[in-house]
Amino acid sequence: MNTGSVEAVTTYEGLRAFAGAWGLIFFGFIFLGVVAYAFWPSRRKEFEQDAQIPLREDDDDV
Amino acid sequence: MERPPLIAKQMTFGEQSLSAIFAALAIATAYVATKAYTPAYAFHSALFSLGSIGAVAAIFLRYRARPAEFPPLMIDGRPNYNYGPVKFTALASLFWGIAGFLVGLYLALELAFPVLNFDLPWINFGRLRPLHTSAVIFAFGGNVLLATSFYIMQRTSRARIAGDLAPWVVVLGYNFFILIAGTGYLLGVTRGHEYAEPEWYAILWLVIIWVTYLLVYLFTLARRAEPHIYVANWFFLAFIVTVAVLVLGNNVEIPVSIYSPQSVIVWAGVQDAMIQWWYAHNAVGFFLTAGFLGIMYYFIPKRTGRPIYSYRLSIVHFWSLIFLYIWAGPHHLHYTALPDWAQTLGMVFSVVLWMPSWGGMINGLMTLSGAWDKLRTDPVLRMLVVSVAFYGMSTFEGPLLSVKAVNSLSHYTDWGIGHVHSGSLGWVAFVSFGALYCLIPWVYNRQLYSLKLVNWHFWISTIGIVFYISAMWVAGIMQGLMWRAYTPQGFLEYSFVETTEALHPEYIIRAIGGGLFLIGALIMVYNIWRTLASPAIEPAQDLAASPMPAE
Repeated sequence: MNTGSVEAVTTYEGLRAFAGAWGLIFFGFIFLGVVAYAFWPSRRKEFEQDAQIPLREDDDDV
Repeated sequence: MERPPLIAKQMTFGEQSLSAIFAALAIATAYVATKAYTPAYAFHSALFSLGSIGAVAAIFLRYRARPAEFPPLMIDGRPNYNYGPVKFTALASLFWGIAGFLVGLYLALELAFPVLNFDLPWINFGRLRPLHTSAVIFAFGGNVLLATSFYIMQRTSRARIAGDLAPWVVVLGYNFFILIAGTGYLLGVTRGHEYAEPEWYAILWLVIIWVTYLLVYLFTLARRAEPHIYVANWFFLAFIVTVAVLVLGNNVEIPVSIYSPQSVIVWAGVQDAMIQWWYAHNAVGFFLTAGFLGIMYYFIPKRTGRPIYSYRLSIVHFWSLIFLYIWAGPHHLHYTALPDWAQTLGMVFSVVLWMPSWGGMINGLMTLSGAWDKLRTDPVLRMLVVSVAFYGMSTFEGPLLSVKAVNSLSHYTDWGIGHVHSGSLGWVAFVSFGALYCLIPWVYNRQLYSLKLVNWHFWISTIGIVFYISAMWVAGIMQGLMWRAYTPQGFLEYSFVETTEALHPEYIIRAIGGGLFLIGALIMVYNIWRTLASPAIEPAQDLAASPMPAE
């Protein structure tokens, strides 16, 4: 370890603790947001139609 | 005699400027070739120069041959798809696949019978091994991804691919990169970073190609007629963007000289190791997983004729996969100088990653619910489905191996090699084969020559994979146990060479497995060749190319 730079070590420890705590909360909320977006009941119809895209395109073939 | 053309034909700005750029590059690289410090670098500079001259000639000949007007975006209200780059990369992937599998088999034989390196520097294990990994991952896999992504983005956008020369710059430029990288390994030009061996000049070239790829993709999506961007495209975009970030991040290096193939990385030691494995694990995550999941989300619905099991699950799959994968890299550095918390972080994220992986696997497999009988009649679909099963198996094995206690046994042993091959042969190659068996008949408007031969390919290659991975499980666990065995006096029980001797039977079984896999791939090449040699089918029967029920 780089001796003599106590400041560098505390900065490192501080950033690590910040990333470990707030990073977890941040990603946790993003995940909940994604799940809420994907499974929101009013979007059901829309997503069911989007799933048909690969099958619908065959209408373009002669 | 000559009829006046409807509109005056002249070179576009793109054709003019690209010719000028390649002409300048040809002169510059020819000059560098004369000044190069090493013969290998002179050879590569000359290749760049010849390639650039070839590019100028190709642009000019193409201009001479093409009509004054560009092909229309739509014909009779239907998108006028451009399958040229798709066809090129689909066939290139077969060529590189066979080359890569063959080198892999030779390496397996070299490990079993070291005399096979014939004491030649160019074909010793150290130089051939990156040739094998790059040929199968970046040449075979990369061309499959280019072919399928260019097909899927046009079809699901219902729009012609953006750009006239740009798609060709991407597919030809990418294959030129492969040529430079591959010949470099044999001549001893390497950065010595696993899966990131190409030197600075090859990387510079790749970055230009890759940015063009991204732009072609984005501009095609921008002209889409379909309001929603289908989920397969998200996976492809994540693959393109992340690979760009990874390559740039892992190649922060300073060339020794413009006349030298060598470069010096800016950071060294454990920082270099961490960035390297952040890169390498995400090459697995985004090149070999996200891109090929894009293939799964398109071709399994197409082949079964039913929509993906849950489109909503695919959205959760996508976001959780890309957010989690990026953190898993440190599990390659357990019990090293990397800080302990970072190792634990890599392990935890790897274990959590199991969930989106299996979510995606379930989504792919359940698409067949109500249509499982098709597995019996359609070997192409069987190949696609078994690839997803292998995906599930290797994404279970991966988190297991990332746990520190397991890793202390498995790391540096052949268990890792087996794990990689269950993912790359079982998942990546099988989903690619399945997609190519669909794609090539579709874009060439041909009937697939023989489903029976697909069936042979499927079984021979599957048995080959099983031989390969079970031999490596036995070899890896035995190796790990022998390395950590102590005598009652506290000495190591086995010398390293004793562990190597013990692996000999497993190495032979592995080579047999690899040989079977190669035979399967050769059957595929024959099948595709006969398919292309057959007459085109009537346009009205386009969909009859595959055994799909009418919707």
